[in-house]
Amino acid sequence: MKATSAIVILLAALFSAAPSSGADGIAVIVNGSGPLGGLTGSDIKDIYLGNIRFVEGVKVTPLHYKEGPVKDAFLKTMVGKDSFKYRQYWTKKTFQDGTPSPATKGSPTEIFSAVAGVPGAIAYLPESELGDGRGVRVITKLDGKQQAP
Amino acid sequence: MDWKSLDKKSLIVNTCEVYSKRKDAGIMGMKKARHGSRGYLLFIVSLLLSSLFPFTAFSDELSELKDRVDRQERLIEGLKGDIAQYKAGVPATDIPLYSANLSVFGDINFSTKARDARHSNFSFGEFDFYSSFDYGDKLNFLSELVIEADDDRFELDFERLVIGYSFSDLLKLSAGLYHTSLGYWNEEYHHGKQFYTTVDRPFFLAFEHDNGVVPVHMMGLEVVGGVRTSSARYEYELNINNGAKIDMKNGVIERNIDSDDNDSKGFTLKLAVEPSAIAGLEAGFSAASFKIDTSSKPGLIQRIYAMHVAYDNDGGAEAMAEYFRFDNSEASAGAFYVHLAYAVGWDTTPYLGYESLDIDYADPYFKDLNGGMDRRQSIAGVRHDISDRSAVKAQVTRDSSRGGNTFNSFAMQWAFNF
Repeated sequence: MKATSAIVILLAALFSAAPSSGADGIAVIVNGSGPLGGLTGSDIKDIYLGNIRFVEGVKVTPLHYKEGPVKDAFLKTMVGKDSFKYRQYWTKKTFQDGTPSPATKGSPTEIFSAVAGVPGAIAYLPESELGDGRGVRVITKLDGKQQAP
Repeated sequence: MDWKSLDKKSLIVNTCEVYSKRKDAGIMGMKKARHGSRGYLLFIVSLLLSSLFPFTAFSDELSELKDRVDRQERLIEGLKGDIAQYKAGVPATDIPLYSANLSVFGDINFSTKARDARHSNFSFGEFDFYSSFDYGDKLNFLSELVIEADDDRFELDFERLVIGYSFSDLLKLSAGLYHTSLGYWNEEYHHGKQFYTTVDRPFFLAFEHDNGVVPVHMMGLEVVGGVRTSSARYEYELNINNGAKIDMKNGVIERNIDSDDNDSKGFTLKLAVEPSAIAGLEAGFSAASFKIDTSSKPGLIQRIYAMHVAYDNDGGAEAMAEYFRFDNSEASAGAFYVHLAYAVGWDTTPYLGYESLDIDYADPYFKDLNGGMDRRQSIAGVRHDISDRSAVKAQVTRDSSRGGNTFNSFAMQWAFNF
């Protein structure tokens, strides 16, 4: 009985400590004082596909979270492409008209620093990394159940 | 006294001195009061002054001190943030003013005997140095320098050289050597064979020196823009350019890069729509007007109209169809291709295609071109992606022309992009 309880407790601990799938709780953030506060899902998709480059005259600067499940979930949910297709898309897009692909930031600190400091910046990160959210505004949250616009 | 010039320690010392002097003044007043009622009154007044004025002044000084401390606290917090960013290797402002992108495209080929290959052969396709540069928010430069083998020699050629300025998403103005806004394939794939599902372009859309019949490069101005509504995304492209000329000796179209061979400018307009209801679908129409000298009709007015439908749903299905109509003064011609592909897994894509060009043999434009002939081509092949940067393709082609030979050929290509 004690052994069974110990296994149950161990399993529960393991599952509770497992990393999130990335599809859970992704916050899309923009600069707190910039013009991107009213973006729709289609706008966000167009921004990450390089089709929208300016909003109210301000250059839009989309940023990616580091490679991994969070980025994969964002691409699938918001942009409607997997990572492979998304890389292919941008290789071709850059070749077609010179549009530079969105930069990737390696940590939440970098994401916050860039989004808070650039009026046209937009990025995403796990909700758990939001902190006090100073200087940024959350415009939408993804739970992994949404369909790409 | 200039309080602002004092440091914190001397400020406190000075404040205490002032308070002490004013307190002393009160004691003096008390001593004088012993000499009569007038003195008593003076004592009361001095006591009041010494008890009120010092505290008012002291309160101001404290307030100023507090402001200074607050300012210094904010400065320390800012410095702490900078130190944290420095330790994390993050510059304070992380979006660069200047960015550059450099890549290389290339392809190596094998082909059995075909229309343009007398024997089976290995060949070097193109080696394409692509670069683009962005400066600030709106200025952009793009160049495509291609090395290709011709008669066992390497030739160097600029295929695109464009400087652009984006006023907004609705208006980007560019100038230089660019790909003509005609149809779909020409601007979708440019010279990057890594992007082609097939081994090569549809034959009538081949590059000028490869016997193509559509002028695919132009020197001039280009205006492009796009907008999304709730129902669709709309794009337009407008070109004003030198037009093209015909190299009579070699029977190919030639670009007017450094000058215009006539006094007329070419115009091209392309409109395209991507409906929101069907992701991956694009339909478009384009039209061009050129004045071009042919051997039998100098100053021929040429109009080219093109329509396209393309579908790529990222889930595996790919379909493209384009139709071109050429009105060359008194003669006209038509060309089209249909291309279908379906990806099996992420890395293997079988495909089928059919291409056709129908001309009037009296057409003054097509009469001067090597590629000016009635021709049909059926293709079947498979593309295998080694990674997102490289693919191997194998293709069989049946190529026939009116009154000419029919070629059944096999080709392989290894294309890459780094």
